[in-house]
Amino acid sequence: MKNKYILILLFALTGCKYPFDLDQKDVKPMPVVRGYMCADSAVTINIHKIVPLSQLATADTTLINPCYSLRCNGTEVDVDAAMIGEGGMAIHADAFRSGDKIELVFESDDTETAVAGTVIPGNFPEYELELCKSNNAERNLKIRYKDDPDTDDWYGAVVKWNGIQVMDVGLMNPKYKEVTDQDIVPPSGYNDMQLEPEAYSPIILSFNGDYLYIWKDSEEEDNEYDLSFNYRPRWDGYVAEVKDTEIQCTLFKLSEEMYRYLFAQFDHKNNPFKDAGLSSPAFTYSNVRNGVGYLCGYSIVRSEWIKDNLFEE
Amino acid sequence: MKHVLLLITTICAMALSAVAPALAQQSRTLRSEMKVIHESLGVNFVYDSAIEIDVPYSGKPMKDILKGRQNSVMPDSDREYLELCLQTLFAGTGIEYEIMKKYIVLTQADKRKKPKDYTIFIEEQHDTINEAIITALTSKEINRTQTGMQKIDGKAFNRGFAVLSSPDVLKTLQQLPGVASGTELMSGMYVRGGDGADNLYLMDGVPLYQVSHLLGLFSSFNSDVVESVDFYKSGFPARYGGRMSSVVDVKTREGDYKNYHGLFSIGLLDGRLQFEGPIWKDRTSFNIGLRRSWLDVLTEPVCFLISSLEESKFRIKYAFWDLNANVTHKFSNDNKLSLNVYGGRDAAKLITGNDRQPSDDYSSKYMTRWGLEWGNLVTSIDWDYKFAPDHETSLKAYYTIYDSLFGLNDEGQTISGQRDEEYYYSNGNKSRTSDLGLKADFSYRPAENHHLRYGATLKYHFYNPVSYSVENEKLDGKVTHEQDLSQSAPRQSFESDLYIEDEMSLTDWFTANIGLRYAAIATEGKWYHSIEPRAALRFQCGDYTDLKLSYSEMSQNSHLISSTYLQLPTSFWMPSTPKIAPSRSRQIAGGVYVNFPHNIKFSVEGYYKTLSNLLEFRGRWGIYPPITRWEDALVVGKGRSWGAETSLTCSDEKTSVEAYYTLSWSQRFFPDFYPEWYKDRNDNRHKLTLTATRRFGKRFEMYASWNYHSGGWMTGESHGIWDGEIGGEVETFYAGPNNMKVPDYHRLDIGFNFHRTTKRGNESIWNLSLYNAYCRMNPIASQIEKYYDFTEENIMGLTYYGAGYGIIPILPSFSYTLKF
Repeated sequence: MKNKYILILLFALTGCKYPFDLDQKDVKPMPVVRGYMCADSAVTINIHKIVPLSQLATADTTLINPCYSLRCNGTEVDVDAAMIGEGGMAIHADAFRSGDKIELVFESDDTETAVAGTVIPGNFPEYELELCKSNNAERNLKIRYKDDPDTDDWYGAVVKWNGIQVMDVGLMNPKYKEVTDQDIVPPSGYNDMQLEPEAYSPIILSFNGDYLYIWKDSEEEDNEYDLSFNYRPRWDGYVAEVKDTEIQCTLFKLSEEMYRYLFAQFDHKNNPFKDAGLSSPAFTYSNVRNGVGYLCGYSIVRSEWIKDNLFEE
Repeated sequence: MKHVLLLITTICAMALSAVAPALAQQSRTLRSEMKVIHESLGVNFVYDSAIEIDVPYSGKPMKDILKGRQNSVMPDSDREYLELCLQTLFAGTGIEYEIMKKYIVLTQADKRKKPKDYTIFIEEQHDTINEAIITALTSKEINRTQTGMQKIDGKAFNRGFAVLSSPDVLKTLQQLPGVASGTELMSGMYVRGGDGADNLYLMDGVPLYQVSHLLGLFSSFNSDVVESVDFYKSGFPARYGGRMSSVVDVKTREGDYKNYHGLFSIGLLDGRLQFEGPIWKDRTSFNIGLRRSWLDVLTEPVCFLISSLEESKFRIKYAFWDLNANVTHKFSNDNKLSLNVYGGRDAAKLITGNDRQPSDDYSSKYMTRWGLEWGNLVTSIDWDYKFAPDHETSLKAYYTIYDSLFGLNDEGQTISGQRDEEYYYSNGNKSRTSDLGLKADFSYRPAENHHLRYGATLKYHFYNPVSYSVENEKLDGKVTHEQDLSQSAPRQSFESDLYIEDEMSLTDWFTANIGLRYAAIATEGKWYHSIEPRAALRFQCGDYTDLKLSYSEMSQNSHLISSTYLQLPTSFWMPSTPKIAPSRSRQIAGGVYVNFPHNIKFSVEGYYKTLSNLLEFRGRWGIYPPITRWEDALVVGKGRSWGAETSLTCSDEKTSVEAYYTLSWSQRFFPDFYPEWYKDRNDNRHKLTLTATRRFGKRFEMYASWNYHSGGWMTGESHGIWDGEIGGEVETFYAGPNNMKVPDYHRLDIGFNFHRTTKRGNESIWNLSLYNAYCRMNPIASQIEKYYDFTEENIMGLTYYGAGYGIIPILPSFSYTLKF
């Protein structure tokens, strides 16, 4: 232990942390736009005003005289607007369809004109699902699909399960509980069989409260994505095991902006050097010009429930 | 009559004695004075035969100047006397001189007077020089057709400032305009918007993959053996290729063919030994330079002392060494074979442990070892042969390897009663990058005004990063858990280059270097081809002014995979692959270069450069990037930079002053990070370097260098919104990449050299240096600090500022050098 103090003393003698001013004199308030738009579903886009952090204690974040325009394929669409918390507003519109090109223009009295746009992607292509045992998790869901090799496409998947949890309340008296719509648990960190984490098939932890796996297509026509998951956390000492499970996969086709934004959020959560300026700014993605945030689209299809028969093998 | 004759003779003698000094003065010519310099200092002159040297000279006699040298206590201060002599002798003659090792090259100041043929002054010395050397020396002027090129003589490094006791090649280059140094004290070279891994470092023509010791405090180039460094930022000749932003071509010296000599130096952190001489007089020579740090000599006893005071074991050790060796054999003046070897290695270890036995039936011990090692080995065989008066070749076979290791070992044993538990865990990463290459360069002068160079290179690259994890647990001697995992991702590629360039003097006022380079790489079944045009034009406007213009394209097939901006040896190199295309740069540059009288030189140069297929790591890993999925961890983008660089230098026999200023912009576009162009983190708008050297008398000289550049950029949360609740949440946002400016960088370095002569007549030099003399704590990393304060009045207070971490205070250092 003394060694540690010696090291700290050495650093204290040679090192120095000193404050410096972050010049925000010319930094202006800007709008933050947040809009995930699902094909064939009603749309809500939230807009707030964010202020320079140095003015946060005193600045008013209420949007003053907001002016907005939402266009679909160049034609302005009818919207309803409502004020929401923290001085922001919500824009509601009817559902858009796959292939629609959406553009939002927004300005208020003390923000510049912000512009954001995206295209609502088409449906997830024809696919097959196969549930297998996995080397690095309890299960592996193989998603096989046809992809246009000439276009860039971005995909995602959410898996839910129904089944019976065996509660460990003493080995003599296990307790059974039927559960539905449970979240699967992605493998994380180092594990027994693999030196490198699954990190480059990124997993977004907080898309509407679900674990969303996202990936980018390859240049081949026939694609396969391996989605590894556990039914329960490995460290869960409460649920001893599960049985009689079935899964359902919701398959996403994402707009480019949505893929990039989600990936950036994942980078932000997992980048140990981000706040020290020692790594690339991978976590800063925004597709709102003169603002921050995202306006992006996706479409979903849900699979049938697939019985997990692998417990019996 | 006799008396008359005697009288006349006496009068004549008196008259003659009266005018004798004047007659003697009239009889002195440039040639005679050059001979005095030759006889005193042993140097030869190489010059265009059109230069008139049999013209009268009426200035201060060289003998008078050199008298001071005979009384000097510095027998090896010949260089200073030589410069003084040459400056005096050729002042106002229209002759320019350049000191090249033991030869002085004389050229016409008026460049419109083309050289005819070359004369070697002092014929009896002709065996020490050959046509190849003359060509190399005299073509220097044509080389300078290039923009953005700087040639630094090896001796300049040793006369420059020495941080932490050793002069350093890269630290010197970092001061030049257009070069951003990145992290404090590291050997970073971000040239004109480059990413730091796009500089071609050549050691005698062989690429080096890692060029730093002690995490960048020292570079791999031992200045004791460096002959010269050619540094290109633009206008790259076609003979160079493989990196995008700059070329650092380091040439080491051949040994002396006649005499043995060398130097020994010891400083605060390292010691150096250099020795050279003939193996076979006038035929074969050697030159060896050795450096080793000796920090471990201090840390080992301190650690031993600490460990002896307590049960815990503690050991920290760091050491680096490098060796340069050159053996050259001259079969004839036109036929030479040389062997070059460079080896260098760094090793850092931290060992902690404990060994205790509190009772008879209980004992425990453990040991944790952390290690970081990296090193280079470069070997090459060169054959230089002139097979016709106007045609010569250089053939080279080389092997270069760079490897690094980063590992952690844990082992221990606990004996409690009859229970004996043992464990051993080891994990880490290592990587190896090696090249095997064959290179042929040809030089052909078909006419007086053309110098053709052409050649080819064939390279085999092998890259092998490895991750490993070994676990072993035993209970009472029996294995209870065993695991031995390792993953490697070897890659290989073949690369071939062809080039041709022609240095042309098309008119009296217009010279050009036009070239073309073709590079091809085969990697995992995919071929990439690159055609790279190069052009450099020079227009001479009058006697003193040149206008230059250049365009060049460069490609890069090897990429540094690094998870952080720290220049750690945990990074590894990988080739272009079917997923990762070669990077490419295009640059146009132009400038005005003026040589004023009194050795004052001024230049201003502008450039615009684009970079494509730039790679960035997504950056959510530790310090070691993933070895199997590294391609998925990278994103591809573009870069652009532009700016202007000015240089003003002046010098006389005692004083030298240099001022460099850079005004530049550097931007990046990575659509995965941000949909628009954003500032590069090394977008240092202004950079200013002021350096002055002054010699006081014969024994003392001092130098000072002040470096300033605008702060770099980091990404930080700049905006926020508060939910309005006491104790509520503040959501923060990044307005964009690299949106926060870190403080400006500046520091002052001062150094003093004290020359002495030992009893045996050898020169010794004491060097004292202060790095960062006014203790400016320039940050190596910065971050945003913010604290929220919710009061009872429901008013939120906020503390919001940047915090810089500076770890390099004022650093005094010393060294003692003995030349023998």
